[in-house]
Amino acid sequence: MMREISLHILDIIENSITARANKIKLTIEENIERDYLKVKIVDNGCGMDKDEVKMSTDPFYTKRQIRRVGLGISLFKTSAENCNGYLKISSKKRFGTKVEVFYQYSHIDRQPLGDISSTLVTAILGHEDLSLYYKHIRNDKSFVFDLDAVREELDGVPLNNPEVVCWIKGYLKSGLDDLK
Amino acid sequence: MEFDLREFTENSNIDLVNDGDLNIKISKPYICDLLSHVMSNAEENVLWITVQNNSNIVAVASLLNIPAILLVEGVKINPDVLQAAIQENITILETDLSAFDVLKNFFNGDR
Repeated sequence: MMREISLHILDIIENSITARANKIKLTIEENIERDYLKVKIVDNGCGMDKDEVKMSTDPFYTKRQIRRVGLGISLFKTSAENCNGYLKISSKKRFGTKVEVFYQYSHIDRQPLGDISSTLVTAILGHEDLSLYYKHIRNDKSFVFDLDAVREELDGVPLNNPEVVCWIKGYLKSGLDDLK
Repeated sequence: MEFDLREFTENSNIDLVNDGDLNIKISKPYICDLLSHVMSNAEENVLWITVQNNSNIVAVASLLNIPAILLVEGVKINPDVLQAAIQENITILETDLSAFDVLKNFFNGDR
């Protein structure tokens, strides 16, 4: 129910960061033959107890005090459910949260995945010390992007250096293009 | 363009499913089904016309101070959505007509 699934993903990543996560693992799997699109986001944030997990898909619940209604997860869930899918959250206090979302790939109401590389760059730029591991599987091919490995390679050059940003974006784009 | 919500609900093609505050002036109708788009573009005090039928619509309406939602083309509100609307005091209307026809009739004075 956002224009693109990548915007839903960015929203979940923002949630993780708000929950003080510094490690996020994102897996996207497109399986055209078996007709599904799966998104999995796992973080090491502060986690939620049972009640909070239940409340998290309720559009009238939010951690933020200014706004009484929090919609991110709820919109993502509805979007998946509109496409014969589901959104499932499991979480453990002090350990982290896992969000799994499933779509019927060919469903006519499924939004496009959207611009994942820009989404990830946005997330990376906003949070310098984030450790992000991203794996994208498309049918029998896969692509991995490990921000920690990039950081090591950079040897102290900051991630928000314009040339680095450009390189990351290009690397993600070409990696994803190779899956097609 | 401004009109009374009560007057609108008296249209014979409209079913009033939940009455929130009917003594309200609607600034104009607003038609959109993409909720994130509504969140960033709808103004307050519009009559929101959609075919979306989940509790998020009530949350969005409540967030933006939208007093009334009209479900068109025969969409019947889900019980849990209605429950949320009652709680949030949002007026819910239904019609079998399309968004275009319902507005055309109303503004032509065909009640």
